[in-house]
Amino acid sequence: MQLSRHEIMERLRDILLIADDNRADFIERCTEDADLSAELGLSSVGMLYLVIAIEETFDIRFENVGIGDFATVRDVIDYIEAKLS
Amino acid sequence: MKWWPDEPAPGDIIRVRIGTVYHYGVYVGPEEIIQFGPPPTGSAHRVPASITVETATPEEFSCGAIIECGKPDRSEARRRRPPAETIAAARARLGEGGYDLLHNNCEHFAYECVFGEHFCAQADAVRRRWNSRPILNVYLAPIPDDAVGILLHSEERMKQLRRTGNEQLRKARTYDWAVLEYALARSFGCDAQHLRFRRNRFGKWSCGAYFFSLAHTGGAVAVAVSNGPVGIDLENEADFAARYAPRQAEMLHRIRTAEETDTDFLSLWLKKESFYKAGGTGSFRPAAINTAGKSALVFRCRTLPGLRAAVCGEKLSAARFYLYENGTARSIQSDILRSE
Repeated sequence: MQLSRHEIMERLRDILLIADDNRADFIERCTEDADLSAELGLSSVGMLYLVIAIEETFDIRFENVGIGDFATVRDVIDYIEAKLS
Repeated sequence: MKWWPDEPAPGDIIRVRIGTVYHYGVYVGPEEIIQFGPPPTGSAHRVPASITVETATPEEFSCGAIIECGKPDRSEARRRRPPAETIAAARARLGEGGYDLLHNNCEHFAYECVFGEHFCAQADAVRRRWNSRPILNVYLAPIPDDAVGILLHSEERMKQLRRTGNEQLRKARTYDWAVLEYALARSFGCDAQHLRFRRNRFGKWSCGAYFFSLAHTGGAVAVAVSNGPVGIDLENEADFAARYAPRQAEMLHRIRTAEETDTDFLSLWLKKESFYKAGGTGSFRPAAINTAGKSALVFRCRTLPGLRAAVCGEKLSAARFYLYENGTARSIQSDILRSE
C-alpha cells in the first residue's frame, strides 16, 4: 500500500476520532506536533487500541514497540511511513 | 478465566491493574513473582530492548494495587501445566528479552508459562473490537469540472456510463463512483479493481460484503459506505424549493403516513429516499414508505452550504462524515449540522 504522508495523517485521524469522538474539533485540526498523551489524552489502553487499529488499517506490524515509544502524531506517521515503504 | 483477589498458589497466573491496562506475572511464592518487565507505571519510559524476564517481590509487582489470581475454567484447567512445570518454564526464561507491546508482552509470557500458549486477552479483545466495529462513512464532494474524464476501475460502471446520454448525469455518476472507489479503500482497505460490482433488477448496486449508496444533486455527490445496509439522498435546498414551491404543504400531506410527524417536506422526502435506497427493491413510492420509529439522520454541512442530505442504516450510530476533494478526504465531523 503506497500512501502519501497526508493520506496517512487523515487515516490516523480517523482512528483517533473513533478512539475519542468527544475531541472531534481538536482531532480534525491537530497537526503532526500533537502530543498523544498530553493533548490527545491517550491512556495506556488507548495507546494499545491505537497501535492495533493502525496495524489493521495499514496492514503493517509493529515490532519492538513499547508504550512510550510514540510521543507525538509525527512519531506515529514516521513509523507508518517507514513500514509502508 | 475468572479473576479473584484471592491468595495465589505457586504456579498461578496473576495480574494487577495499572491504570487502564493489566500487568501479568507468574506467582512462585510469598516473596517471588516472575514477570516480563516491570509494571507499566508510566513513571519511566520503558525501552523494549531493555525489558527482560525478571523476578520481583509482590510489592514491586503490584505497585500497591490489588493482585488478582486467575481461576481457569474447565477447558483451561485441562490445558494448564502443573505448577512445578509452570514455575520451571518461567525460571528458564529469566533474563530473556524481546519484549513487544503487541506481540510479546507480559501477558503472552504468563500464558506461555501456565498454558504453553502464546496469547494475550487484552490485545485480542482490542483487535476483535476494532475489526467488528460498526462502520458508516459519508463522503460529500463537490463535482469538479473535469469529472467526466475520470477513469474508473469498475468495468460494470463504465458500461453503464457509456450508455448515459445526458452529460451532466454522466459527470455526476462518474464522480460519485470515483468517490466510492476512494471511500471503499479508505473505509475498508479494499481495492476497487478487485471488487465485483453487481446491479439488481431495480438498479441497486452491491459488492459482496460492503454496502454503499450513492446520491448526487447539482454540483455535488454524496457517497455512504457501511458494513451494513445503508441509504443516502442529497438535495440542493434552493433547487428543491424552486421545484416544489408553493406546493410543499400539499406534497407533504400526500407523502406523509399517519404515523409520521414530520413538518418539513424536504427532510421527509430525503428520509424516505434514503430508506428506499437502503432497501434497494421495488420502485420509489414515498407514501408507501413509513419512516416513523426508524432512525435516519437529516443534516447539512457547513463546508458545503445549500445542501441537505439524509442517511439511514443499521450502523447509523457510527456515522462519520468526510469532505472529498483533490483525491483525498478529511474529516468534517464538527462541520455537520444535524437537522433532527
